[in-house]
Amino acid sequence: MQTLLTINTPQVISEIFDEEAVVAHLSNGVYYHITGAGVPIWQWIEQGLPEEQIATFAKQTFAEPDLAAITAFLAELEKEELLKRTNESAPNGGSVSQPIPFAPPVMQRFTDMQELLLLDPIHEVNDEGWPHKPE
Amino acid sequence: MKAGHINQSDMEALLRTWKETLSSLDAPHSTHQVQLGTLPITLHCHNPEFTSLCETNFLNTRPKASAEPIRMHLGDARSLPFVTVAVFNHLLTTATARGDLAQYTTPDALIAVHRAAYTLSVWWKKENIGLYFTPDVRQMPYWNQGALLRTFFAWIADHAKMQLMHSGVLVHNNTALMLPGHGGSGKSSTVLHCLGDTFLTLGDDYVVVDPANLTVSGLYRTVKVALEEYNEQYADFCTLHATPEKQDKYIYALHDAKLATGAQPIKAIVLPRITHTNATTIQSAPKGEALRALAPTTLFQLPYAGNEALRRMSTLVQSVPSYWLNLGEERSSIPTAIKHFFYEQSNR
Repeated sequence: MQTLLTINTPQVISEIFDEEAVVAHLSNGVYYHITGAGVPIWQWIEQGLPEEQIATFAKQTFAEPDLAAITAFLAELEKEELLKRTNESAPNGGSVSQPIPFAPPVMQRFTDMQELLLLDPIHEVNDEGWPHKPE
Repeated sequence: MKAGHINQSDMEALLRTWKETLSSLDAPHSTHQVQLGTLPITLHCHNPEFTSLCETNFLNTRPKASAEPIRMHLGDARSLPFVTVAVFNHLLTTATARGDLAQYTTPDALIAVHRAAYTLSVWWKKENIGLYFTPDVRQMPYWNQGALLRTFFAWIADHAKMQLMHSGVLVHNNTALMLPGHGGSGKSSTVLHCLGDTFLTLGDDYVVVDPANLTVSGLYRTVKVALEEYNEQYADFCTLHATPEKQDKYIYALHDAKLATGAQPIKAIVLPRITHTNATTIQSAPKGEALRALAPTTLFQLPYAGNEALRRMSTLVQSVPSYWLNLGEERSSIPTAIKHFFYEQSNR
């Protein structure tokens, strides 16, 4: 058993196509746009991997990877609660093709949908519930 | 019953009681027929206010005799008193921000509240019975009066492997353009400017997409118009639902003549954005932009929408081309540009 990094499902959902990932955190209304090396890293995390395995994969996948940038990216994912750590058996490593150029992982954060969720009418009723408004 | 005192087995017993009561309910009501894709739904309105709201919200379609309609009961504490306000208040304070009540969901019944609209939706899938409850329909927030039953329709669509999506739709020569985008993107004003021309629509807010067949169909006849966008010409093709007080948007009901019917093939996704140029132009847009315009605004408003909903939207985005609609300040250029775009697409 090892500590694996995995996606914080079910509240975090994602879709990858072309060269980007769209990620949504359904509990807080924040969504993200991930590009660069962030996309393959996100795919590795979807499989569930030990953190050190991600560095190994990065060295095999990218020509001259910036490991500090990858570590910072993982920390950002964790801070945003997009990742969770679980104790499970690690999956087998995948096959590695010719190294590709490293583009730093970039994550854009969008909060414009938050107001849809955080519009909280519960605060517009008192302890007796609807239809009693607070004093 | 005070909030916080309903455990899961209490709720399951309540759901059983509600279902049995609705199954044998013999109370006065009016009926209204709605078609979701190929699925007929009969709305039983137990308050005159719900009858009026259904007429504003939906085309009254002729039911298809081949399918047993899904039956939806709409009422408030006066007409459906067995759903008590105490239970409603408990659910209101228990739901997640999106309105999910997953802890009370059973294999037979889905349940959710809309916390801002003060509505409760329940669907018993096996029996095809639904409940839409609000404590007092006369006090339903104005903005919700143009988006009745949204949660319920999302469930039915999902069950049929379709997806309710937040998007306007323009129809021209039996092909459809989807116009996703959140408030202020120019979606509604684009639809209205084009309806003043020769276009039809399938809706301005929520539509039903079949990602397997790449078709879209409509549900609502309502369109929301910001006060500053008000135009007297709109009276030619839609009727004001009610005069709002202290609201930033009017709700109009579109006339039948401007509503396309049936499933229309989706030609493209067009992303409206307000620019400061004079004329309206259309240019290719990255697929990621299309998914970001479509997905968050849909996902965050529909209880229980998750990976499957996102996958359906991704399928759509990957299957049809995406474009920016750069809205010019000369508004009359909008329908002309879109018509030219339809013409070019049909000749490809």
